[in-house]
Amino acid sequence: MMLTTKALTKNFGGVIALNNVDITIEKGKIISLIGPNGAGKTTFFNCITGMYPPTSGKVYFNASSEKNKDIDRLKPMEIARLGIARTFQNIRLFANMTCFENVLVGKICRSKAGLFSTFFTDFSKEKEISEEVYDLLEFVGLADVANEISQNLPYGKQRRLEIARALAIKPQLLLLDEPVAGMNSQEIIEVMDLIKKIQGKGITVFFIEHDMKMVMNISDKVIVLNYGIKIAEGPPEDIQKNEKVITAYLGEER
Amino acid sequence: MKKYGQKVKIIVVLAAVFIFPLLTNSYWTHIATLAGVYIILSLGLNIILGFCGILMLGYAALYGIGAYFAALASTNLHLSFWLTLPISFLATLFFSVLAGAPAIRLKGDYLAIVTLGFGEIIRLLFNNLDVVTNGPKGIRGIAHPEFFSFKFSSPTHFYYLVLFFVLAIAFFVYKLKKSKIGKAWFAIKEDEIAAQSCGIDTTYMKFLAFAIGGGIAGIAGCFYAHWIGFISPESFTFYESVLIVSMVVLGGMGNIKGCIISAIILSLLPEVLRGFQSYRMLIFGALLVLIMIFKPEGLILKKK
Repeated sequence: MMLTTKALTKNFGGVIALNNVDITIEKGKIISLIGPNGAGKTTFFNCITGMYPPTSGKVYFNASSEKNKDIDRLKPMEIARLGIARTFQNIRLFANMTCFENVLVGKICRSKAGLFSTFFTDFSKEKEISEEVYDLLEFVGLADVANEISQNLPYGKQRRLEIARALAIKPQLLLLDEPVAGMNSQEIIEVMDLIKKIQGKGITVFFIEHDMKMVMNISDKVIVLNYGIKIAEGPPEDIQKNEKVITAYLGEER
Repeated sequence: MKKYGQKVKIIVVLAAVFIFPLLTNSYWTHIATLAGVYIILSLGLNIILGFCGILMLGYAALYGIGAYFAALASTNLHLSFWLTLPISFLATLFFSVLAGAPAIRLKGDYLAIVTLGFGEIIRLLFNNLDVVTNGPKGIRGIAHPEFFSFKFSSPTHFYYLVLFFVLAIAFFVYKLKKSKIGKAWFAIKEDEIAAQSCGIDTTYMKFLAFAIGGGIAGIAGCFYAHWIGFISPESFTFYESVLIVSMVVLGGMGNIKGCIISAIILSLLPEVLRGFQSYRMLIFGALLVLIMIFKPEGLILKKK
């Protein structure tokens, strides 16, 4: 198992944003998380990545039977270093830095960054890192804009840059929060291909999305949240037929 | 060709800086040395404010701590400049990290108030801790620096000494900016949450900024104390803090060349305006406002 949550609960005052959510994310799969607005999807991501401490419940990452590693009390920085990378619903790039620098920042935690190395540069190592950064930009299709300031990029490219930055920390699990929000159908197809390519690298992808065509097309498993409760989990075909899911999205028949 | 022109420019500027005292009188050499102290200070604050984006309004207090430690070590223990220098550096570094501890968790207005409070507390300590600091009367008789048998005494000597520190620290800060640490600082300034999710230890990085930025203020303070030979709480007021913040902001937040140039301009302007006598500070203020209106991103724009 890549990631498991056990009775994960998050309260904001009296509001129960997540209510005893149990999920499992299998290694190497593409898994999507859907649900109506305010269902707790982003809160769920924030609890996994340490942005919010959960009220109760556990999150296990890479857990094996004899030694469970719970990560629910770790800081975002520690979780990132363990190998869970994420993107954000409202893009969070380093706006005034170039694309190259944005990805480079993702690489910092995977290399030595002491005061010593500041003054005694290992040029072969530096070259290696910058090649890795270019490879990642190439991978997401941004090699030609490597030296552009990231805030000047069009929206779709900003999203892909954020994915490249997340990949730079060499994650085992990649969390994408609405990766195609606001994109046209051509761009959506490109992102779907990109996600499949990421899976091909052996990285597990877990994403939140409202675009049903994309969800049904590339997911191995779909998880549905409504009012903080997991109401369904299964392959896309089953979810499409699931009564509870249809009710959650469309309301009850009178 | 462009690279070549850049090199020529640097050599010309360096040459001009080196022969400056030979071309002018001791008054202007003295003023230039003061500008050098402000360059060091603005380079130090540039790390905290310009690189890491932490609005530190009590920087003059750190400058003062460096100066007071040097003055006390020199007058009481009769230590030489080269020994008080590391003492000032480490003491200021320590107090800077101490000031950083509560400040690191805060943002915006709250952060500004906490650092402002730190600055005032330290100034009041200088003023009222008579037993140690001799209160408002200050400390006099701080020895001039020596280098083996050579005694630094004339304005020209001090000019070259401060020039050495300015070049060394500017190089150090430049290297930092280009390094991974520098990139991490800029990332924190741009978006702290995204920086955390990239695996950057933002708490450590902010403490590091306070430590290095503070240590540099200590060096400036130590030099100032040994140069002037007399220090009092008046030299380390809130006005000084604001002046140094202005230098970093006018230089274009994080821009090393910009902050050096604006430090020179802001420390020379009051002298140039001396002819206007009592209107001096009025004009100085008006000029600051004008610069902010017409060059809001700093005197030197980053090439994009």
